[in-house]
Amino acid sequence: MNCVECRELLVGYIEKLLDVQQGEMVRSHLKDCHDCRKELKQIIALQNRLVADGAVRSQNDLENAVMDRIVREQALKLRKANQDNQHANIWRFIMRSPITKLAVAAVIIIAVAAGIYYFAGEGTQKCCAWAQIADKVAQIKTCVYNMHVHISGGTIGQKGQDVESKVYISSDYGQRIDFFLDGSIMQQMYVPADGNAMVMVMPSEKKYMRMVLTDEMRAKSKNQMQDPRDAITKFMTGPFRELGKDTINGVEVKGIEVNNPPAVRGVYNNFIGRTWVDVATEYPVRIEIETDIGTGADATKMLMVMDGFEWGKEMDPGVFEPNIPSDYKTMGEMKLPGQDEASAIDGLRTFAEMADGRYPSQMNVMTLTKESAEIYGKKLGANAKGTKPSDEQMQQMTAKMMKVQAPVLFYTKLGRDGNDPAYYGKDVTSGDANAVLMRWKISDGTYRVIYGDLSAENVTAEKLKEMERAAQQ
Amino acid sequence: MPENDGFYIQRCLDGHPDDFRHLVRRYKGPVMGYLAGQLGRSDLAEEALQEVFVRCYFGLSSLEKPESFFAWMLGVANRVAKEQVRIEQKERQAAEKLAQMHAQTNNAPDWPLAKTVAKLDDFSRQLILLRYYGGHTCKDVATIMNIPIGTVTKSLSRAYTRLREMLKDEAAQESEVQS
Repeated sequence: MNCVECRELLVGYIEKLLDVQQGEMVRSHLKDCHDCRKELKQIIALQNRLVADGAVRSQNDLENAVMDRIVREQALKLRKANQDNQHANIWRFIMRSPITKLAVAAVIIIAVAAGIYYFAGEGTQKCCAWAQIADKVAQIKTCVYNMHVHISGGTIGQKGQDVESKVYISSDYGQRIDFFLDGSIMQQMYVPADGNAMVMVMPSEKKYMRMVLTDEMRAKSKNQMQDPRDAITKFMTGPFRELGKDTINGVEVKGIEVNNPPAVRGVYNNFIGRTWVDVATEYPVRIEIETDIGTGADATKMLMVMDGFEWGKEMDPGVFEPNIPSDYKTMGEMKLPGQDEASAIDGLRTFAEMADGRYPSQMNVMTLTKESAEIYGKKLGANAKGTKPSDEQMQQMTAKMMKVQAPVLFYTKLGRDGNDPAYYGKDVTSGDANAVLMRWKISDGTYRVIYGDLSAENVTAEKLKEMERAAQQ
Repeated sequence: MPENDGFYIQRCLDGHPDDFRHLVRRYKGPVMGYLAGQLGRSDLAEEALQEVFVRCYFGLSSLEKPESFFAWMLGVANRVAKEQVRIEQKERQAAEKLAQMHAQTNNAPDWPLAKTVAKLDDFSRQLILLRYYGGHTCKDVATIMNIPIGTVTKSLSRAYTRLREMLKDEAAQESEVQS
């Protein structure tokens, strides 16, 4: 064996992979060859270095650390996927069922309307140019515009949902709103200027429904809902800042922006409103509202844009009359819930009856919609797998869905009026007779309390404090 | 020799995440050796190692050839190392000095060696990493890499020669700098 042959086999020799004969040949060559012995030593030295470094690098608890991290991250991913699925499922369920579709539309109307409706109309600063613009716009008798609402997060899921509407307004005849979902008409809502009921029509279902307005709503119905004529006035109830000039669709505009004006407290969080008016005509060109509804995991983001305005447009009175084809069925007459204690208690009772004694976990429109949709989902799933509920069932459900909105309307009103309301539905059930479910201030030092069993009484601020402290412990 | 990589990968994909542990155990040394050579610091390498395994785990479904798991993982490790280098470039320079100071003490990482291994060609590097940092025998390495045992020993022989040359060059450069 020569040196070249020997060196080729050295690694095999060290690793004990050679057969007996080969091993013997290498050994005998090494005995006589100083250079190959030196080579062998150097390879072994390098191997020892590699083995030592390899051992040092492997001395750690990385295996467990890696597995812990994988388990943790996988749990997170799963939870997120489940949430997204759940959101998607709830939304699919809502949109498949005519009842919940109607209820959600109503909720969106309430939510959207509340944004403008709940601005108190007082405190307008009459001193500046914007006040004059507001006055001028408020005088216009008719208006048509497009309203785009995008809601996302919370119940709706991150992808969100768009609702497009066309709104017709006339001082003489009232309002009409056509709601479109995914391009097709979902619902038409007619609010007459002097009537006491509004009519909702669902062309896809060939159904319609009358909704009786509460006295309070009727009193305010002239200037409420989606009436952009009041937007500037209402935006100016708090401090605002001028946005300067810009261009929208080739029109030179100027704008103002408000942040959390006092009137929306208790209704919305992180509220930003912007109004842009045409510099030449001083009529609004675009109104934008960005806000959160609810807080925590259920917080829903709402973006609302009104544009495509046609101010002073002449309109046929027929536009405002619901022309209901004869083959449409009525779903009866519903009552919009009142904003008072009795209606709130009634709504809470209705919810608890359906939810085995639980109350809505939070007092906001979106949480309430989500939770009642879930309950309906279960009930409908159990009662009628895949079959369409009867008209009677639908009517009952819609009535209930309306009813359960009452506490949130009342609660919102309390917040808006500065009555320091609080709600503990997350921890209190109908079995907790002595636990405070909801409370609000009725005068200095006195609070009104609704308990878990839905009884109500007045208590002193001290006693309330005591009860709330006890509940926290 | 326990089950091959493909078996465990399929188990993970079938919803048994804990079986990934076997792959971590099998490759943590080799990948650590590679990352240490690339990054020059143990703490960075350990951090990167976790990231590599986590990414590999969540990327298993995109792995087309399970038999190339190790090579694929080294690709991931290379990307992670590059990211780390970008983030930690400044710190690394300081750490290298520190590493050189401790290089030859007992039970300390052999930084010049690890860095030299990282510079080997892909094939030789995989062999060295599996054999010494993964603690696998030559026969296991042949199985993992799906090559004849003779190729393993011949290639190791060449890798040793190359490593020795590079280490010699580095040492020469080092002494030049010092003088």
